[in-house]
Amino acid sequence: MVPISYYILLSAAIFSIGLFGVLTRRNALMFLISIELMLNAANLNFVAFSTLHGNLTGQVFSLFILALAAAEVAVGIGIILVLQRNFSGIDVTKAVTLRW
Amino acid sequence: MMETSISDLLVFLFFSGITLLSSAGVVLVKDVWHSALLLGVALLSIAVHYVLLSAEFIAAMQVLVYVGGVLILISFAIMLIRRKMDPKSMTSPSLNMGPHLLRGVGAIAFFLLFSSILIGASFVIPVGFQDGSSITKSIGYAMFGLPGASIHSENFLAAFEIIDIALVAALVAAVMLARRDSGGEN
Repeated sequence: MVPISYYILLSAAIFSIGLFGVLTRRNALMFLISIELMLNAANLNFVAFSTLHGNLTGQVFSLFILALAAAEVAVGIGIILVLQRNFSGIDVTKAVTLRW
Repeated sequence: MMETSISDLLVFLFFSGITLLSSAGVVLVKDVWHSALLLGVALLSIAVHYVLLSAEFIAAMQVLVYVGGVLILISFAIMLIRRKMDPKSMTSPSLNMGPHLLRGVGAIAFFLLFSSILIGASFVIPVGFQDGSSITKSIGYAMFGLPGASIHSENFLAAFEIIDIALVAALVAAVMLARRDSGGEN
């Protein structure tokens, strides 16, 4: 296999790009998309270490993350639709009713 | 089996480039729809990395769940939400550069910190999976905690059932959130 440090660097880069998206954008959908990138970076690490150790625990774990990511997107899109309905836009800096 | 062949390395580098460029495009393009399409490219190229790591089942699930499910959900939400469409932005993607990118300096600092830690780290010699052992079959055995798997792993039966409940709860919550109140104030 390709050296494990390459995979860790790649997944750190993907995670940082996702973090960059969360920090710089204000669109709630962009938040969801960036979080997908970050989850994928974690998944890549799980699978890479699974192959490194010859143990399947990492692969099964990444399947669970896959399932939870799908659930997270379903709930997130529900929240975004409510945001659009109540604030007529999905800018996350506009929804400040609960803040004082 | 675990030596790095030069063809593996070339494929890895090529698809790493695609992954990194498309994920950078995801966070930098102006239009959300272009971001979603670039996310699809990034997810597919990560599936290629899974195949390289001999995790074919995870790669198939990545394509089915992420590209076939999550991406469709996201594009569905984009089409529900976007009202005005700038015809210029529909044809070619344009980058969204500006002073707001300065807020992302924390992410770059995180990456630099992480890679500086990684330089000093040492890892075990790669073991890999034995030739002829069925990975997908062993995943099935691991998920239900059954004996007889050819590759060692933990017992995941409890986690499997908890994820099951979490998925049902999330689906019910999503329906509750997206439902319009019939006689309510909204």
